[in-house]
Amino acid sequence: MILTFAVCLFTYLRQRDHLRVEHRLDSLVSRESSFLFNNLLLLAACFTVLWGTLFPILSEWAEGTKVTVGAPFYNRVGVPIGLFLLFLTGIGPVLAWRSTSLRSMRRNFILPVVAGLSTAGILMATGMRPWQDEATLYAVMAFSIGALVVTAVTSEFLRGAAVIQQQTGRNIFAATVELTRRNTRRYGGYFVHFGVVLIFIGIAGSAFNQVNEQELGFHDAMTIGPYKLVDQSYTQDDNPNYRSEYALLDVYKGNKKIAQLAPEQRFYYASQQTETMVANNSNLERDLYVIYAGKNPDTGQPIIKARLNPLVNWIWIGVVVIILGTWIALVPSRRAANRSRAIPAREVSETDHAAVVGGD
Amino acid sequence: MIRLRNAAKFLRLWAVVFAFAVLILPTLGSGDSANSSERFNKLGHQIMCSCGCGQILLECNHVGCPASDGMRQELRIAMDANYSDKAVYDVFIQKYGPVIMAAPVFHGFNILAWILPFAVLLVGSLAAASLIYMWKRRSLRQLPAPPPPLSNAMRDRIRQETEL
Repeated sequence: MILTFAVCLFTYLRQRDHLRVEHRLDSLVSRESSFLFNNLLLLAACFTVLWGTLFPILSEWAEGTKVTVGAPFYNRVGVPIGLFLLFLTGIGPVLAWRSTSLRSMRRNFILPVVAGLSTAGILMATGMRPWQDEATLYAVMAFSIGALVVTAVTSEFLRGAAVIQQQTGRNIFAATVELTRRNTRRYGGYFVHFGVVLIFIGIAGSAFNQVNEQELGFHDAMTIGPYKLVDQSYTQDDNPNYRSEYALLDVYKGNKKIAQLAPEQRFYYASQQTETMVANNSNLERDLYVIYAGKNPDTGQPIIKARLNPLVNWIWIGVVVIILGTWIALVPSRRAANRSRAIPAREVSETDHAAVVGGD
Repeated sequence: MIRLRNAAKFLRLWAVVFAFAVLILPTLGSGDSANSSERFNKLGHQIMCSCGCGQILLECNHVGCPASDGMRQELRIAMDANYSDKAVYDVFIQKYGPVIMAAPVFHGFNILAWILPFAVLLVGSLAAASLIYMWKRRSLRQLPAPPPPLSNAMRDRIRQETEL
């Protein structure tokens, strides 16, 4: 690590003249500054991971006792940094290059701030109590800042599309498509911002994860959230690769059966390892994740562990939107594509020459 | 110019307030949970399984784990004895050592674990803000001087030469 650092430092010191730029940041409230603070936050997130990794060693050296730095540390430190990043994702596009006036900020931020505060108000009115625990607080913040970002980015689209609509007479959707085609890098980037918001919404759902573990005998039931799992049967199977035990569970929401799940535990002969095959019922609202956790050695009853993870699929949807936004950004903008079309060569007449050079 | 400075001050102030709220609010109301199973869940997610699997106690899915069942039982006993959250953690730390806690306890040298990432972010932000402010002042100082006012002779000459 020291050698790598030394090489990097030496290279930087030798080549730092090439890194000098003529231009400087003009204002703290500008798009360039938001990029700078964005990078600072990412650096802080990297430092958090480095610090969390090294701290057990440092603590042993300083105090003689080793400590563990696990998920609770990263949740408490990393999540606020992530929320700041999400916030910058929303305000960055709305700030002007070089400098943003207070008037422009008021005009551009009023709707997103109202959307964010309204979302927080609605969530609290529907029963979320951010003051009760930090997971709920962070979830409320993530949803509210997400609403702020979506409103800010959507307003950027609509502002530009309205101008094109006025100029060309097209409908708002066609105008938005035309707007995107004229500047694919910018508006493809905005799609990526949408994708980031969706990922944060998916992650925020983990604040409401539920777990239930229970011995389930034949026709016994267990509940998790609004779902009831009823055991129908337990079966064993044997084949040349592995021996397995699995449960057949009917899943009910209210009185309606919505799925049948078969969580399984396998013992592989070759590796002498036991593995669990999870049964997952997934939709946009949540993942219902059921695990066959073995048998109680005293009673011989199977143990079923169920996990309800809300909004997980939005993480994957967010990834797809980010990929889509990246593709859009990579497509050449409409004007640039037209400019690069080859113009056939022709003889230049005297009149043409005079028009270009100047004269009588 | 004054408006921009005020805007920057205004934003800086709100950024500090927002950061403070984000850091402080999670600690508010973070006392002992009332609901028993919620409390069990909360406490169990702050403790590591001692079998060496490296997982949180209530997340340990290590098949045939020799430790997690016993530890969960100990957690239930401590909760049934009406110990506070801190007392429960102290019981586990005394038996298994500080390494049993899933995150450093906010005490002594371990306070550094929690504070340093935010301190790095704050120092970096202040440094960046100061640098931008310095660059802006330097660029204002380097602005070309306004042209000198025209003399009467020069004005007359311009009028003569441009008259049609």
